[in-house]
Amino acid sequence: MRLVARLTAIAVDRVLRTAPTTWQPVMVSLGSVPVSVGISRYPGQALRGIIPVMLPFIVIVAALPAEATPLKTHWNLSPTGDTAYRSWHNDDMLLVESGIGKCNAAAATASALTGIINAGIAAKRIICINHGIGGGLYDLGTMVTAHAINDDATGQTWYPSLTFKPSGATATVVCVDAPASDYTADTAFDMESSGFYSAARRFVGAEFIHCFKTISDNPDHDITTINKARVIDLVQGSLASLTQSIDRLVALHATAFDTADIEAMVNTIKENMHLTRTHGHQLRRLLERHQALHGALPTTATLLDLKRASVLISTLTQQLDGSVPRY
Amino acid sequence: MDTIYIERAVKDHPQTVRIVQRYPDARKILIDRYTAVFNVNTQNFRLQKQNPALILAEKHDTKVLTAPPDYNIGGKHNYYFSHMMNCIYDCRYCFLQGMYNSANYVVFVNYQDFFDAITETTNRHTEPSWYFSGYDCDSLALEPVTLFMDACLNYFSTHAKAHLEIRTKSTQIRSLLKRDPIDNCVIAYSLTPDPIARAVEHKTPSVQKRIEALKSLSEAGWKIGLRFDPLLNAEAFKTTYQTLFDTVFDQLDTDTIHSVSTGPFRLPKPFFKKLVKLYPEEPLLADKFTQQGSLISYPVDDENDQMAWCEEQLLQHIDPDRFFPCV
Repeated sequence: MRLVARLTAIAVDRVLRTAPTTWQPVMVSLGSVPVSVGISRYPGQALRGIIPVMLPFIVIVAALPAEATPLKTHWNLSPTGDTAYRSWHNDDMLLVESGIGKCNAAAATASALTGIINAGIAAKRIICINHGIGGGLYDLGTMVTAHAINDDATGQTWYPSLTFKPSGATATVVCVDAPASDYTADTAFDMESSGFYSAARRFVGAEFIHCFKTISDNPDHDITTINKARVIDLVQGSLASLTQSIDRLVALHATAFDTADIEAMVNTIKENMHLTRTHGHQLRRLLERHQALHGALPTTATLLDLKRASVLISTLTQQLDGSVPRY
Repeated sequence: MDTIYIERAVKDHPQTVRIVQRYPDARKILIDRYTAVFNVNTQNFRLQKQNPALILAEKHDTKVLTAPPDYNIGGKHNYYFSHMMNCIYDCRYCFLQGMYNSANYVVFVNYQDFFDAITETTNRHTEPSWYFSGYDCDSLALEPVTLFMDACLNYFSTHAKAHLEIRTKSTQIRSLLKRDPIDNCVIAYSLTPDPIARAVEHKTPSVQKRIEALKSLSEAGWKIGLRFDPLLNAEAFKTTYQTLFDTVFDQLDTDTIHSVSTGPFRLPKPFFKKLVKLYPEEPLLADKFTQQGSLISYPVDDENDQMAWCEEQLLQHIDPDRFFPCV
């Protein structure tokens, strides 16, 4: 998570450089759950005035307390107080304990994502992960990344997008309704992945939804011998692989176009001028065009001098329509 | 290529087996239909382009399609086909980014079915038919892997009534130079002024390398074609394109040129919108565009001026009967 912290610092710093000096970095919270990092001219106040920074926000869904505990400790997460599903957080992560089974996983995932998106975190910022134990023909403690998720009951299969380079082996994760031990090559059993994945893909881009399974049972270690202490040990042992994969996902996320500067400018204009929704969309695209054609955004003062939204839009349009790409 | 998805139906196809052998370290994932991976609608083309997977599939539906009405180089019956979807290059104006959800490469391994479809189509006409390859992919860029063009040329060498255009930016011409040229085939290169190519045609061979490839092919007896398509607006449009035309015609023997074509930059509106969403910071897409019917293009007057001026310049080098503006 050091990378996330670094990216947060870089992004906030970048926005602050273009903002008035009185503005402050803030953390916006929903209840006790932090939902957005940004800067504000109204520190400590509600969402109005907050400028979102395009940083990843990581949601991890784990089924069991023993699977969640090592993650909670590793990232020093605090309880959110959510009563439906136990959950914990820090500045850029939410960990949800779903309970066993795909229905629980789907409900917990949908609930968590709905909550944070409604609170202002854009879906494009979210990296959504299911981490837990599973059985397969791998050494105990090996973490595998799902390259396919197969719902054993329905036969439906999903293929997570492996745009990032997973840490270690990948496997087809077969989501079963009851514990299974008829292990086959390149396959791992679990009980949550299909519920998690089918729910998460309704909210989050395909590149940023992934299932990681730490092997808890195999032909040499019977499924009936699994206990809480072993699960904690196994999950702790796979933290390095999990962290590496998350860091790679965060690095991939950082390559997406960052609209923070433009959003900041649109928000500033909105606070000082009446903009309809259409004006907002038009202004956003005009600012993108300005940045593309002139290598920089116009100054806020220049735009505010135009006083009215219609004048602002027509002036910028006219100016940009007279510009031609330089190669 | 670190991930290969393989349709179960073609897992033992000779082309599949040969291609898979080239990537011993890639993870192989069996799938039912390529659409389960390729058509998923929450994928991000821009992110996937960083690490595309290969999908080996069977083409089931129509293999040969009728070309747009004005798309020809002198033939009466014009068709196109695509043995592959997507391209290893990353040209910012490419319509594939707007058309597909995924940047993964799909290779249809049932080559013979394409040739059977071409035979059937050719037999419908008494006059020769033209077949354009390189519509949904670059014809040669992945040739060392697919060997499709090699098989294709074997086919066309024995079917004189069928004519082939191989459209490419690739300099992978070794296999072409090793064989005897055939009379019913034109190797056509897409050419863009060097400064524009450097800025927007990512991962492609330089324009000079393409000209050298054209020269080698023409010296080996192949018919060559020049495709100035799409014409891209720039601050010094005439100077930039004049330099390109001078560079090309200084180095090529004009008698060996089969055809020269030009085409405006036009995209269906939904494709254009998707491109802008993927690359809001791209100067090429920040230019002034207008809607003509369902298409987005440069303003009509600008487009007409560009096409007319290029025609005037090109006709100083080649005969009118070898010039084909594709509008």
